[in-house]
Amino acid sequence: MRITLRTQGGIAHFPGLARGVTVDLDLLPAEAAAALADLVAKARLFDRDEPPAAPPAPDARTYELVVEDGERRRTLRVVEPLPPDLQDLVDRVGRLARSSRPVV
Amino acid sequence: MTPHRHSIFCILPPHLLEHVATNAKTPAQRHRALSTLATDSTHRAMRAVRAASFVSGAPKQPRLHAFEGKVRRTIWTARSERALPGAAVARTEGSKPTGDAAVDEAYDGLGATFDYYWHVHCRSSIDDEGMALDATVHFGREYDNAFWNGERMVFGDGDGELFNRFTACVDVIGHELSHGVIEDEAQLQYFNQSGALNESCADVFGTLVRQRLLNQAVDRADWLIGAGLFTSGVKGAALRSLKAPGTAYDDPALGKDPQPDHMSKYVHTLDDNGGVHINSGIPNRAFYLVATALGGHAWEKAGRIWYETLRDSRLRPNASFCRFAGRTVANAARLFGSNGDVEQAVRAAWETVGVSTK
Repeated sequence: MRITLRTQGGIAHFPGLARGVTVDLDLLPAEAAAALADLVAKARLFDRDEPPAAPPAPDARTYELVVEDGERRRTLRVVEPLPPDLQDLVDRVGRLARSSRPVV
Repeated sequence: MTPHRHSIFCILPPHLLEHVATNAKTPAQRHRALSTLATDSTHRAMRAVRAASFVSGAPKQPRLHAFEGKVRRTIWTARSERALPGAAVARTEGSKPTGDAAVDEAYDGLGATFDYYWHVHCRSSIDDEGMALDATVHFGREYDNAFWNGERMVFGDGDGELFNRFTACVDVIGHELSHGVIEDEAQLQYFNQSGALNESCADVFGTLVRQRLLNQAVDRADWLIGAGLFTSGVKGAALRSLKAPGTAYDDPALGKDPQPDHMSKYVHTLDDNGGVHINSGIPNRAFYLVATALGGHAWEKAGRIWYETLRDSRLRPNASFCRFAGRTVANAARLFGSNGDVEQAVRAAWETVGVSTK
């Protein structure tokens, strides 16, 4: 399974975060992969409805989550504030991406 | 924290309160129910007028006048949770510094922003009616953002790898609270050009809050938004530069500052609500050019023109750059004389960034 997270906006728009980060569960250590798979299952990414459109709030971040599992693929666009299950998932993917960031 | 024993009354419907008032067992009970009723009917009436005034397009609502010119701050801590307003009150108006940097920076930043609007534009808080300023700090874990949610400021602590705590920059606090002011006055729609104007005005007043706090003249100011927000691991000085849009950062993780400094480089995109944080570079630079052409303190003339433009009833919520620019010229003429140096400086600035004021 692969999860891609693209982040737009917030107090600024960062092209690097909008380009997105992809986490491949097959390439993660077993423990981290299991924890992430658990969050994906809890968030029911393949089944949940797209949230209704609302007028954008200033400086709220928009997240685009793409999850791919074999033949299945789902793209979900959500705007802050996120429900807790999605927030946990976004936080985890973001943290994994940051920890694999090249040291400058 | 002040005791708050009767909060249940806030969610009871009026007919139940009347019942409590009529059948109260003690005078104290009766008094509480009656005072809740009185307050609540006032607020209900105000809400009704407010709702009606939005329909009719009337610009202002009835005022309380009770707190004009007096800042009233309450800083909450969320203790790394995501519940609002937070776990506990950390600092209230007039109390001593706590030693918690996020709490004290939020308190000071709210104060600096309130002071800016009151002393420079005679504006009493976000709504010009003395609205209390509330903030929540330590919001979430490694939370990389700050925002105004229509009622309060919310600040994350940052992840520590890319971002420091979001209270660290007073111009970021001024930026966020100015979104509240813009929503109250111009209601610039938050996408495409009107959204970029919304962002630009938040940057303009955010940086003016900081320049005034530091008593900086235009040639002493750095014209950066969010200097110090990045950790030392990030290759960049700040989030944005009004002086030189597109040069604030260039980092492997964050990418390169995408802001254009001229209409010819306007970015057409579906990202970021149509590039609201991207194309704001164009009006940002126009403001910088006006302010530096006029010299002295940017808030005295350039800031006044921009503030009066935000309050201009001829500025529509879907304003384009051209329409906004035209109103700044008209306001410069109105405030400082037709065809005078100030009006000419405003015209020249927009021309330099490729925006027509005809």
